[in-house]
Amino acid sequence: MLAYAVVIFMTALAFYGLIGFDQAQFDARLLRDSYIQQILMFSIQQSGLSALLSILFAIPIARTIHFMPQLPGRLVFLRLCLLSFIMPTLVLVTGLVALLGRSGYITPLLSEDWNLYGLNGILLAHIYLNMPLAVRVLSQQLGHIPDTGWRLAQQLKLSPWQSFLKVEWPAIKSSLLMLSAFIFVLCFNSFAVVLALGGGPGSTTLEVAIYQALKYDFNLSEALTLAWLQFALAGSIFLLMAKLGKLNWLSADTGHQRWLPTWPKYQQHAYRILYCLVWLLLLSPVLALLPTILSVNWETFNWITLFTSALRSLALALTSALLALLLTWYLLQPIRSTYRHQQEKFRVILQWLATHTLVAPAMVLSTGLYIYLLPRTDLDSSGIFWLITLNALLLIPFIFGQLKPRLIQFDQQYALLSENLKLTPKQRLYILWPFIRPALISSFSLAVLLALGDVAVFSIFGDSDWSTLPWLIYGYAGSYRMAEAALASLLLLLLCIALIYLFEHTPGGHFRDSGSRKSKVKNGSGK
Amino acid sequence: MNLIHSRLQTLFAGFVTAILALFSFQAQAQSQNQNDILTVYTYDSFVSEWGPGPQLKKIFEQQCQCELKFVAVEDGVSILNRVRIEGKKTKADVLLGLDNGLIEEARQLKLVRPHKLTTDHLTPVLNWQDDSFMPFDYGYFAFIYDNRKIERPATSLSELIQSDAQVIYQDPRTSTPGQGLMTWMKAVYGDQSTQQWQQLAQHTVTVTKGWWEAYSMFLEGGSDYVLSYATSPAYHAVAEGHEHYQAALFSEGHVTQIEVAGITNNSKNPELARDFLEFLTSAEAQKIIPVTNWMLPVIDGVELPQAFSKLIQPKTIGFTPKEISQQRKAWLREWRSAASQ
Amino acid sequence: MSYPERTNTTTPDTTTPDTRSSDIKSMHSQNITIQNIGSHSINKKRQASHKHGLEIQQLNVQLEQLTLSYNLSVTTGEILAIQGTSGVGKTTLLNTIAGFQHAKSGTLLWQGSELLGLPADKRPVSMLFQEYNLFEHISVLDNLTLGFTGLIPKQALIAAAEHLGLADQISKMPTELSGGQRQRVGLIRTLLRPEPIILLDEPFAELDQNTRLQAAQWTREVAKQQGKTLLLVTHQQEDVEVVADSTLVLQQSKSAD
Repeated sequence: MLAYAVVIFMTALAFYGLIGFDQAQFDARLLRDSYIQQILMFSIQQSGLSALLSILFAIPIARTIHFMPQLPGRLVFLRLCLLSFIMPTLVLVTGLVALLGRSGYITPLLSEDWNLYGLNGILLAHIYLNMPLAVRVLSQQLGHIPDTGWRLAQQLKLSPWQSFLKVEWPAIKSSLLMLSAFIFVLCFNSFAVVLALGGGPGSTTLEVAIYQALKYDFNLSEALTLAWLQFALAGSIFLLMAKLGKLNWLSADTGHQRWLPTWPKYQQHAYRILYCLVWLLLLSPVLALLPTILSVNWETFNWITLFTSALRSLALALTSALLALLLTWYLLQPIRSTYRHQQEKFRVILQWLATHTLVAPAMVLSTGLYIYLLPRTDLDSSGIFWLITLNALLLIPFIFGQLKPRLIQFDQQYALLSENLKLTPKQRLYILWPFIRPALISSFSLAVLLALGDVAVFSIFGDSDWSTLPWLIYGYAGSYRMAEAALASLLLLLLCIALIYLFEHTPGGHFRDSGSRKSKVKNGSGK
Repeated sequence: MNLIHSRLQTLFAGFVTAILALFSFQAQAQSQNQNDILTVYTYDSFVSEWGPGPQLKKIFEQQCQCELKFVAVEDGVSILNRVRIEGKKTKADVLLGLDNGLIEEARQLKLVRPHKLTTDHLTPVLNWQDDSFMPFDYGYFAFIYDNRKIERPATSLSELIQSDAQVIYQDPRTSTPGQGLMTWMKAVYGDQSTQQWQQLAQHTVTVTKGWWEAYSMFLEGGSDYVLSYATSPAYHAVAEGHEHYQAALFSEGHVTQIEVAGITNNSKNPELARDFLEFLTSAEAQKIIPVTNWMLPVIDGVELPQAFSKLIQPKTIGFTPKEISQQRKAWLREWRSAASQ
Repeated sequence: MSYPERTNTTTPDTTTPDTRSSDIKSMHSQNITIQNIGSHSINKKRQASHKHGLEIQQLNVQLEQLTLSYNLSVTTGEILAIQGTSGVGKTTLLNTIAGFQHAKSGTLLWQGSELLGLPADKRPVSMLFQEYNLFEHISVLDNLTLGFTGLIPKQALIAAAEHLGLADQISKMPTELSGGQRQRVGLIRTLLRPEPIILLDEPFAELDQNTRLQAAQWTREVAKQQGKTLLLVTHQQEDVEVVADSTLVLQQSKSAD
């Protein structure tokens, strides 16, 4: 129960801070401020557009992936999709600036008026981050169409358009809605992308406005009001999503194809071209980093800063993930026993308590805690403690989503047998360990990757003297030192890839496979 | 299962203790040797390798037998924001890089203490009488353009605003040039500023957090104009030997920026801080600052490169520090509403 | 874990299968709706009068709206087959004895001492479930040797596995085995455990004709040799004939007056 105490205590502190008792208070007049209304509109607009465009682009790509199983590198492509979804956002931002910024590689080909900063850049980044996710989910949904559907369509001589409407559409329709809501929430809570590519007050989101109110204006009341606004909106969308159902977002459809319609030659070519284009598109921001690095001034480059930041990031991410894992483990124990004793209602309450940080975006919790702690403690020396704990708290829902089904499955299958065999606690752990190890490793690695990319919590609790790798990238990009930013980005990316590789080659740890088995995570904030 | 739990519980407790121990260790390490360190909060371009920071640090450390530690943030307003957030726990001894638009606010927040130094040696142009802040350089805000790209630069603020030339400027919430532009707009347009901000937003490329970011982006070809200083062309002439970048002289007049340093109220080393302030206005430091920070010296008789004599000589407009301090919040709100439309 | 009762167990005479006479017992399992719980009658065809062995009296188990009631007694070392139509409560009876099903009232005595208060892992019972008898993620051998405290009868386990045609399967993972093979692995482990009471829930269901007979004969042999008290749920008459000393047919009582 200690774990529940920790989780509830932290949120309680944050909301105590948000209620505003001394310096800050909720200011309803702000809701009529034209600036606040403008950023609210912009937040909704950019999330809506990001979701819509991500899905519009994802549909043809998902069809390509599904209908052309013989395409070379299809499995690698699906993994690349996963990577671009969990890639630290600032790596992408650096890549985009290198490609499409003022002196980007592609910029000369674009019109005179092209401006990456503002809605353009935000949309590009959000589509890049979320479209691959949609591709994975949709291609998987297409895989669920029974053979008979296709046979019937061919029998009835349906035109491609008709068969899309009659066969494919029903299969993807339900997940489309869910997917849109999911991407909408991710983009609504997006912080780093907007911070780096926003380009002025015209394209600010609520999440960034909270940060600015705290750090630019030191206007606690405004930060608090905005945090409530963000919480209310994100929370209601989340509730809506919970009604819509679950999204199996990590899973990869690598399954065998049984029966597929044959497409006319020209269409196959179109699919191939599209496939190559998307490959190029997904790789280009990463590839753009490489030539940019060449202009680093190697003599004056501060290697020490780079490597200490990298180590610091790694240490912070590992500690947060480990803490999150331990907390989740303890959070799950009472839930396991509710299954055993069939306490349905109690279980729902416990689960909500355990994963409630999903509803409250990182920035909201950070703001509340910050306002609470500021007059009370020395955040300079304890900031890192809060940084780790808050990150861990935000990671819990992800680990929870992956571990719980596996643990419950174990209990359902083996609880009686374990009792019957009179296993000692040690023997039980010995049996449980190999069973949950894959899920444990995959959820841990996911947590490490997410924590590695954290910008939101760091922006509030971090210390620029004590910079993490993403924050360093933001600093470099901020002072327009693109070469250094590219180098740091590449290092961060390599770190992520190395971690994935490491976890996959840990005995029993299959990042993708175990993910595909039982990973139903509803939401992901903190991107 | 209980046994596993208790073991994991122990592990968990041990883990938490280890983290806490790590932090307290770190905190301890930080609190040591505070007597010998003078912590100066400033903005990033001041301490960049081409800025005045490294040279000043070297000379001052030789004089004081202490360690001068610069902590850099994005821009001048951010210095104030940071100290305000840190409150009594701030480690800063000196705030370096606030300007005339911020000194009243800093005073009202009781962030600084009187410096108890004479100001007689300062140039009479400034007419400086403030007892808390010591100026170390000054200049005029101006929009810089590339004369290879623009043959006929805007001759007034209104011409620039009405044009469709691409502009980069800095966020007035974080940056002193940004705040300077805000003062400039109010001085020229008064109550009509909202429409002008909206007009400007039509052709603004981006609003950056600090001067460095904006100026770097401009040099990379990011825009036609960038908000900077009338003295900026001197840098390109002296350091790079060309006159491509010029300041546009506006007929409405220009706003002055006087950059100042002050000793924090919480400083544990006020003596050392006072020495540093005195050093800043010494002939030795004033010789370095104009050719590294590219602003005008605050004492007379400093020999300047030839390029400084070619700079534009604008007429001055603007507000007193008191006026700025009274209006600043309202002006910021007006800017942010107008510029976000 | 050791069972003091085990030492008190009197070793019965080994009865060979062919000379054994099947004594068919008949029992009524009461099916009473909630409304008339208080007025059920119990058919006591065979009064429990043994001091030793397993004695079950007025054991009531609540299954949703259904109340099942059991009365029976088994002497130490006896093998009792339990039959009856599906849903009559055979598995429930085994689960209640093993401690996986909560009993509402009644007594469940083993060698004169009450078992109902004990949790499942403290009861002198070893049970073979209908499914999930093996941990799928550890090898067959690990499964066989799992859960023994003190000396593991490894030789006996391996010998039994060889006897039942599993010699080649021992180092494999359970997922690589057929349903019948897995059932035999479970059977071996259940029978060779130290607990004196053995409960088998359809242990031969997935076996073919030949192995079925072999497994059934082995079960009887081991149970008799080690003096186990064995309850066996089965649908097949031939299992009853090969393994059991006597048979109990659970019946659903039609009249619930």
